[in-house]
Amino acid sequence: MILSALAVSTVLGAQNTIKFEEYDLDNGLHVILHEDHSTPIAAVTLLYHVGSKNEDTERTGFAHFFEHLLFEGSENIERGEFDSYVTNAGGALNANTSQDRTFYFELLPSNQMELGLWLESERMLHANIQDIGVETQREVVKEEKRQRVDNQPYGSWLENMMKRLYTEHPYNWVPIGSMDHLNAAQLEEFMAFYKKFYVPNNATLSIAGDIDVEKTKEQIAAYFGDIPRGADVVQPTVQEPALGGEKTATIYDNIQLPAIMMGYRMPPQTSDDAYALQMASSVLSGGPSSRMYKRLVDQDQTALQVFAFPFSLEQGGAFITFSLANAGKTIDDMVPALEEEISTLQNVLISEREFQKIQNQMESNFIQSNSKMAGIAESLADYHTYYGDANYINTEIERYRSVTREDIQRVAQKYLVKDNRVVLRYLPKSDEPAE
Amino acid sequence: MKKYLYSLIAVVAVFTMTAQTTIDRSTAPTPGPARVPTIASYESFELKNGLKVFVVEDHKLPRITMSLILDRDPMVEGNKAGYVSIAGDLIGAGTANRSKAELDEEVDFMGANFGTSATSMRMGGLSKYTDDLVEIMSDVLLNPSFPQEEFDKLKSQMISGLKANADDLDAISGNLKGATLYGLEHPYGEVMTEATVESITLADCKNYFSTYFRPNIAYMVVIGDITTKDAKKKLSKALKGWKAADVPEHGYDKTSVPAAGRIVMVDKPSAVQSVVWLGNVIDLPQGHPDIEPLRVANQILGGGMSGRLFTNLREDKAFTYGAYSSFGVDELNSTFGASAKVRNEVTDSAIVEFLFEIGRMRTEEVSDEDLVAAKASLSGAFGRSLESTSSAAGFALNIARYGLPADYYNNYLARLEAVTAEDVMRVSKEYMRTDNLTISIVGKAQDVAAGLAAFGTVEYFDAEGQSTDAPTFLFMPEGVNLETVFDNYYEAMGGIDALKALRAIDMKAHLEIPGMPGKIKMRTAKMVPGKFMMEQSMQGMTVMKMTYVDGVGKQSGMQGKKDLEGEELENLKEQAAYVVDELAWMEDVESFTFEGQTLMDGKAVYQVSKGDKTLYFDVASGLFFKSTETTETPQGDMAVTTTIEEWGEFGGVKMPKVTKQSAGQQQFTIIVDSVEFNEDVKSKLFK
Repeated sequence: MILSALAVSTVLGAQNTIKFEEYDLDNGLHVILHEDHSTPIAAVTLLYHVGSKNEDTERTGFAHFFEHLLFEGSENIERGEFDSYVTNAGGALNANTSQDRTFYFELLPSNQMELGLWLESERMLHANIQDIGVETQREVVKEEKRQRVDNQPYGSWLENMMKRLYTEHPYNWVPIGSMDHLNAAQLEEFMAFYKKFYVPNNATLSIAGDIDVEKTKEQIAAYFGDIPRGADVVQPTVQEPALGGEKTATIYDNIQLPAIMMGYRMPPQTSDDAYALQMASSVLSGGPSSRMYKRLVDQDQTALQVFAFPFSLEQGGAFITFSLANAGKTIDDMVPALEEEISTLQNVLISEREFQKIQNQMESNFIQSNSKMAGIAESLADYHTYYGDANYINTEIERYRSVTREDIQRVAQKYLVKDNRVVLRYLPKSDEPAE
Repeated sequence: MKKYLYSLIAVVAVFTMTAQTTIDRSTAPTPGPARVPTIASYESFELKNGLKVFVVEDHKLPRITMSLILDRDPMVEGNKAGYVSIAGDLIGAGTANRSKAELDEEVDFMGANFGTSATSMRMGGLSKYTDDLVEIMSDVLLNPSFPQEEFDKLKSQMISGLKANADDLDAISGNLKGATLYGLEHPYGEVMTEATVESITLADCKNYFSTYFRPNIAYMVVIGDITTKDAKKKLSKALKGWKAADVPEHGYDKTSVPAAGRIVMVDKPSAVQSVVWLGNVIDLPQGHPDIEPLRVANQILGGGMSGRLFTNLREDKAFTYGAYSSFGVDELNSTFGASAKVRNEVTDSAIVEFLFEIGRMRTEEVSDEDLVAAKASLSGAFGRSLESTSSAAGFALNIARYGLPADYYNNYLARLEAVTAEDVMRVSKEYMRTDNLTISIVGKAQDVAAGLAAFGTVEYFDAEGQSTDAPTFLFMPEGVNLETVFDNYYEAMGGIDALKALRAIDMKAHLEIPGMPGKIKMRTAKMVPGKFMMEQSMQGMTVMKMTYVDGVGKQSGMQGKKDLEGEELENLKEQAAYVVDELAWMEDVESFTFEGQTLMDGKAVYQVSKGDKTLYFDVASGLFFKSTETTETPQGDMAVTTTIEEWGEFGGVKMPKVTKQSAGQQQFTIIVDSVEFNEDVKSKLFK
C-alpha cells in the first residue's frame, strides 16, 4: 500500500505540476499567471470575493443580479456590446455566482488576450449601472428562476434545505434570492453594492494559457494599475447556533417520483473534517460499487438514484444525501437503508480494501482534473481565495491522503447525526391532502 | 435519469449566466498576430475482424480513454420501444467471469469509469491501469452474461424514468417534436411508453447484442497516454475472439420536407414557462457545401449571446433567460430549429419575434460586420474545441463514417472564410423557412392557447406524442359574474337603453346549406310587444311561415296550415316580447349560471349555462360567441351548436351578420342581408 502511494506521487511530480506566478498590484488586486502553449488560447478570469452570503437580509439575490448587470457595458463599452466584443474576437464568455464568490471569464484566442484585460478592467473601473439595464435584467433573472427552479422537478430543494439548515447565517438563502427583494431595490443600492464589493482588493485575476508572462504583467499593470483600492471587504462572521434537533418538512411538487433529501451541517471547506466528509461521501455513493448505490439501487431497488455529496462552502455548507424513489416505492421504503448505511459508517471502521478504493478514486480525479486552461485558471483563483494558497492546485491531494479510516468514522459520528440535519420529503402534488 | 443528476448539480453549483505602457481605454485593444490552431494527429489501423481503430496520442496527462462506437443505421423498435436502450445498459451488467458487483468494484477500485449503451462502450482511467482496462472491456464485449435480475431491474428503472419524465417539460418537448416531425412509426419519432417497456424480453436484448455488436460495423477510438504500436498490440490480442457477422440494415427513407406549417402543443397545466421550439426537417447531407454558410447564418440568428434571437428576446424584450437556434446534420434527417423557454403570458409574442428574426435572415442581406463577427466567432469556437484531443478523434471518426475527404476538417476554416453575405441569404431562404415550420409548445394551455390561435389551428398531443382533444380549462376570473357578462354584452351591442328603445325590426337573410343548390330566403319581423313573423321561401315560394299576433300563433306553408299551441306558442310569445331577444334574459336571471372563463376555438370566453344549454361570450369583445345545446330527437340526443361568425352594424346596433348552425350532421349558415328598424317596418307583414 505504501509502495503504490509512492508510485503515484512520482507520476504526479513528473507530469502534472501546474507552474504559475502570483503577485499583488499596489491596489490589492491579486494576479495569478499560468503559461502553457499547447493550444493558442487563453483564459482570462476575474473572481470577486462576493456571493450571496455577503448580501443584506432584505436584499437577497443581489450578488447574482450583479453578475447579470455587469454585462450591460461600461463607460467605454456600449450597452449590449460586452458579449459581442468577445464573440467577434472568436472567444466565449460567461459568469456564475455562488454563495461565496462571483466569477467572470473570457476564453479567447491567445492573440486576443488583451481584450479580456480591457473588458475586465472596464467592468471593475466603471461599469454602466443604469435603470434600463436594471429593469431588463430583473425580468431576465425572473425567467432564469422560472427555468431553473419553478419549472424544474425538485428544483426548489436547495432553497428549502438551506433555509432550514441555517437560520442566522446568510447561507439561509440561495444565490437566486428573492424576486421581491430585487423588485424593491433602488438604483442607488446597486451603485453602493458595486462600490463596496467590486474593488481590486476584493478580486483575483487569474490567467492561464498561451501567454507571455512578462508582457502580460505589463499589460495588467496598464489596465488595472490605476483602479483605486476600495475599503477592505469584511466577510460575514455570523455564528450559527447548533441546529438543536432534526427538522423535517414535506414539499409537494410537480413530480411523479417521491424523493428524500437529508442535509447535515458541515464545517468550512478548508477544514480537515471537510476532507474526511468528502471521503465519506465517496464511500457512500462514489460509483456503482459504493454502499448506498449498491444497497438502494442494485439490491433493494427502492431507489432509482442515490447520491451523497458534500456541498462545501467557505463557511460551512451541507452534506447532502439525495435519493429518488423507484416507481411504486415510497420514501419510507428507502429511509431504513439510508439510515443504516450512515450508522454502519459510524459504527464500523471501513475495510483496508475499501479505503484503498476511495484513495484511488481521489487520486484519479485529482490527476485528471487539470486538463483545460479555463479549469486551471478557475482553480488557481479559488485556491487563492479560500485557502490563501494557489499552490493547492498541486498539493491538495495531500489533504485527502492525510485522512485516515478513523477520521472517516469520526466525522460520520460527529456530523452525520439526526440533531444536525434537515430532512426534506418531496411528494407529488397529487398526494397533497386537501385543506 | 442523467438529467436529474445534471439539474441537481446545476442548482447546487452555481447560477450561471450564459454568457503598452499607456493604453487608450476608449477602444478595444488591437489583437496581435494569430496563431493557427493545429488539429492533433491520429493514426488508424484495422484489426483482422474488421474493427477500425483510431489512436490519438496525448501524453500530457497519464490517462487513457477507449471508446467503441457502432455505426448502425437508425431502426424502429415498434411495440418494444426502449429495448435497444435496455440492451445497451445490460451489456455492461456482468460477464461470464464477473458478476455486476465484481465488475463495478474492479472499475471503481482503479478510480476508472466505464459505461455501455446501445451503440457504444466507453472505458477511461489512469494509464498505469491500461492493461486492466483493456481486459475488462474485452471481457464485457466477448462474454456478457445478461443476468435476468439485472434485466428486471433495468426494466423497472426505465419505467421509473418514464414516470419522472412525465413532469419534465424538455422530455415532453422531445417526444412532441419527434412525433410531429417524423411520426410515431419512425426511428426518430417513436416514443417509449410503459406499455412498450413492459413487453421487452431478455431474449430481445440478447438478440440485439449478438446481431449488432459486431466489429465489422464498429470503430474504436483510443485517446491518451499510449502509443499506436502499443494500442495495436493490446487490442489485437484482447479482441481476437470478437467475430465479424453480417449486420442487417433498415434503410429508412429520409423524411420529406413538409409543405405546410403546423402548431402543436402539449398542455402542462402546472407550467410557469412555455418550452417553445420552431423548426423543421431540412434536406442537408453530411459534407454538403451549404453547411458552412448555414453555420454562419445560424450563428448570426441564434448562435449565442450575440445572436439576434438572444439580443431580441432576452436583452431587449426580457421574455426569456436565453433564445437560440441550431441545426443538426444527420444521415437520415437533418433539422433546423430555434428555441426558448418563455413565461406563459409572452408565449405568442415570443413566437412573433422568432418568426420576425427568421424572416429577416431570408429577406435582408446580413451586414459585413455581422458576417465577419460570425466567422470570427465560429473560428474561435473551432480553435477552442481543439484544446481537447477528443475533437481530433471525433473528426477522424466522422471522416471515416461519412466518407468525407481526409482534409475535410483541415480545410474547415478556409471554407468558413469563403462564405459571403449572398451565401448566407441563399441558405437562409433554403433552410430557414417560415412557411412550413412546425411550432411546438409545451406549456399551460389555459394561459397561452388563446394567443396561439393567431398562428393557426392548434393541434394537441399528450406527453407521449398521441393526438388528443383540445383541453378545457375553466376557471373563475376575478371581478366577473353573470351580471357583468350580460351588461358587457348589451353594452357591446349598442347599450341597454338603445336596445330597449327599439320598437320593431324587419330582417332579411338567406340560408346556405352545403350540398343544396337553391337559395333559401328568410325574413323575420317583430313589432313589440306582441307581433312576430318568420317566413322561409325558395324561388319565390313560401316554404313555411309562422305568425304570432296578440296571443294567436299560426303556421302555414308546404306542410299545410295549423294553429300553434303549447310549447310552440310559448316560444313565439317569447320571441315577440323584445326586438332583441336577449333582453328577456334580464327577467329570468336566476335560471342562468355563470360557470367561469375558458377557451373555445382558441378564443378566451365566458361560459354561462341555462339548463341543457351553454352560452359562450367573447372575453375581448363582450359579444355572444357560441351556444351549444343538446336536443332530444327520435334518433337520440343531438348536439346543436350556434356560432356567430361575424357581427354587423345595423342602424347603430350590433347584430349577428353571419351565423353558423350545426345540428347533428347537418350544417347551415345564415347570412343577414338587410335590417330595418321601427317606422320602416310595415305592419302588414304580420297579417
